[in-house]
Amino acid sequence: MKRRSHHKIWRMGLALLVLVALSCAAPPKKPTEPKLPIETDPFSTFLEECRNKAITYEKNGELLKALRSWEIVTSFIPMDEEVSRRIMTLKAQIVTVADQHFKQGLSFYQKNSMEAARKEFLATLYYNPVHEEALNYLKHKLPGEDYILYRAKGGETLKEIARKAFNDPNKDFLVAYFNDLKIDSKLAPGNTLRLPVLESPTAKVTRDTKETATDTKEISAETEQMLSKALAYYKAKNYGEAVSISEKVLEYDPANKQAHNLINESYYQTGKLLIQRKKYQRALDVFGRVDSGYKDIRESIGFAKKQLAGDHYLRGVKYFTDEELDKAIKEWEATLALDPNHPKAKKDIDNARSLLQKLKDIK
Amino acid sequence: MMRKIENDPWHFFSIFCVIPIFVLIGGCATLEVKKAPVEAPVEAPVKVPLIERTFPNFVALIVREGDTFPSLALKYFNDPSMDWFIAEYNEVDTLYPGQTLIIPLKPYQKGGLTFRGYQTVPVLSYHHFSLDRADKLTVIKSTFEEQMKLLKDRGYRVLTLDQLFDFLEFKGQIPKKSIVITIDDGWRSTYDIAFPILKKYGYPATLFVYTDLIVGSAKTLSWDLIQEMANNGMDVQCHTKSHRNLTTTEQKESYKDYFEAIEKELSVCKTMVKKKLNRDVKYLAYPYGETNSLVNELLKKQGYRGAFTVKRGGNPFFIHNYRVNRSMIYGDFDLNQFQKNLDVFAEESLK
Repeated sequence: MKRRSHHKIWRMGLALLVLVALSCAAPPKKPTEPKLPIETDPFSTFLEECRNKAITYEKNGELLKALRSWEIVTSFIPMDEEVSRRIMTLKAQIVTVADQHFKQGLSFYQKNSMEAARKEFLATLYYNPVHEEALNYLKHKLPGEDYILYRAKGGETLKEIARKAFNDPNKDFLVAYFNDLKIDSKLAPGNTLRLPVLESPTAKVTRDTKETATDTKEISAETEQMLSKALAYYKAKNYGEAVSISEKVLEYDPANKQAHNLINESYYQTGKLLIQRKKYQRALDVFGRVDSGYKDIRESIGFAKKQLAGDHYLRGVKYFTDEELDKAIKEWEATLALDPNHPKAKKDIDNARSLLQKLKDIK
Repeated sequence: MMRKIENDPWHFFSIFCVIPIFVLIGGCATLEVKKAPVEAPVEAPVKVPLIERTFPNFVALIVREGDTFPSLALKYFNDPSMDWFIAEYNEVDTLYPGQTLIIPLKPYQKGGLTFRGYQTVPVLSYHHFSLDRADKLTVIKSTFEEQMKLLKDRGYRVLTLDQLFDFLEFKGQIPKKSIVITIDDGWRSTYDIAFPILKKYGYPATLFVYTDLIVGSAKTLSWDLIQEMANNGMDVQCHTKSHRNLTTTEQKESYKDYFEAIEKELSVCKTMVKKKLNRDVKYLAYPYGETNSLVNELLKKQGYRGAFTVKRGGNPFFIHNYRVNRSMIYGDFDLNQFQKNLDVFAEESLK
């Protein structure tokens, strides 16, 4: 009997324990933190967008952007063989394109076509940002070095070197200074010395300080000299230098008509050149620096604006066909800003906006 | 007299009934208190868990309520001013909860090179300032204020010279709309007029001093004033000792005398700034903007990292480090003319 009642208490106890456990284990009524459904990857839509972007970039020839987008996709899905294959192809393509540009750059450089070489080296670096040689050409070889390297023969004195390098043995102090040598040093064969490239310093023509009042004759001589230098640059079609020197003249003589004229004409001609090269935005920027009544500048600005508007319009059409409606609208708005009477842009913006609205309504 | 515990039914009752009841009252009651804390009658905002995936070159994340570009830049780069780096990579200028964002962990566009051309950085050059009288080299206070406001309103970022040269040496990436502000000589109006405005906008400008001018007269700065500006974000660099033209010889000056004189122009200024401000000098603005190869080599020899002319125009990364362009901002410029000096991109198809 005692044993049976013992069992009853055991059973009662067990039942109560289960009850307590169940009641305490019940989920809280309100979750304190929202939980994402386990089956949904929060990045899945983004990855799909990345894929689409990568394909579009590839189509447009923007290989680096395409590669970046594919690399994002592959980081999430390393097992996707199609993506890995595309990345490998793109990488090989990029290396080839970069090398082609570099070779082309070298060829232009050897032919002394520096502008063309610069563009090719830039393209090389765009495709391959770690291309040290292209960077070296752009930073050092194209602008020209400020020094030469001189390989000394055994026993040469600094005077002998100065005579050979500077055509003046008395400039031996320069050899010493730039190579941390004593003036009476004798050099071992094969020593390489760094020597500055010397341009003869011009005799003093500028004022000592900006504040000092100086002889007007001196200033006048200065400006004359600078103006003829500016004119020479203008004639050589080096418009940047012509402007730079003319502006210096204006510092001394703000009303100098010839300097004003040279600045206007240099910017005007630069703008015309840019128009020929179809660089309409840059042409507009440059034309903006010309005085408003100069020659046919208003017509030239009008022409550049119209052409640029056309470019924006076409870009908008491209975005539209690629279903990038927001970007298309932006381009067409830019079209209208430049050419308010553009025959199509206004209508196309309205169409795109209404399409966007419909898409939003569907969502 | 003690009862044997293992045979005592009350013992089992106490284990299975009494203790669970206390557990139930105690434990569950505690949960209830946590759900409705007395101390926090207002419900605390729900903190959405951070969803991010980290890879070697980037982090992908879902934007949460309250995230901003500076807050993300602080979290990932320990520097809120790197906000542009995230915004520009993602080609967005606003954030919203639920948006997917990539945080690049390495520069992705050195030199500002793109498919359509390359970045250029304008360096603005000022000299004097005045309350009400403008001339070619003197800018009126209200005009300067308008110009600085325009930079802010149009989203320009003002760089230090170190940041500029990292860009020029193809080491770092900078915001697309970057500019540099410099002031030459060391006139008192720099402190009285320009400095408070620069401070207000938080712009790190650079003052190029020629040390002979720093005498603390009514018109010129003193070293104390320069120190005060340097302590408040103004970078101080050299404009030589006496402002002599470094490319021309004085009358009857031998070549050797000329060389020694220009060598001093560079070294004395550097030493003086170091002595007075305990700051290293790395950059020079050429008097009259003029230089030649000899001067450039002297600068390299003396440890200068770069130098500035006054040739108008922006600077691509491939500009010569010792012939960096600067655009003089004249006192008679209106805002439209000022803006013409702010080009930050040169179009040139690099396909």
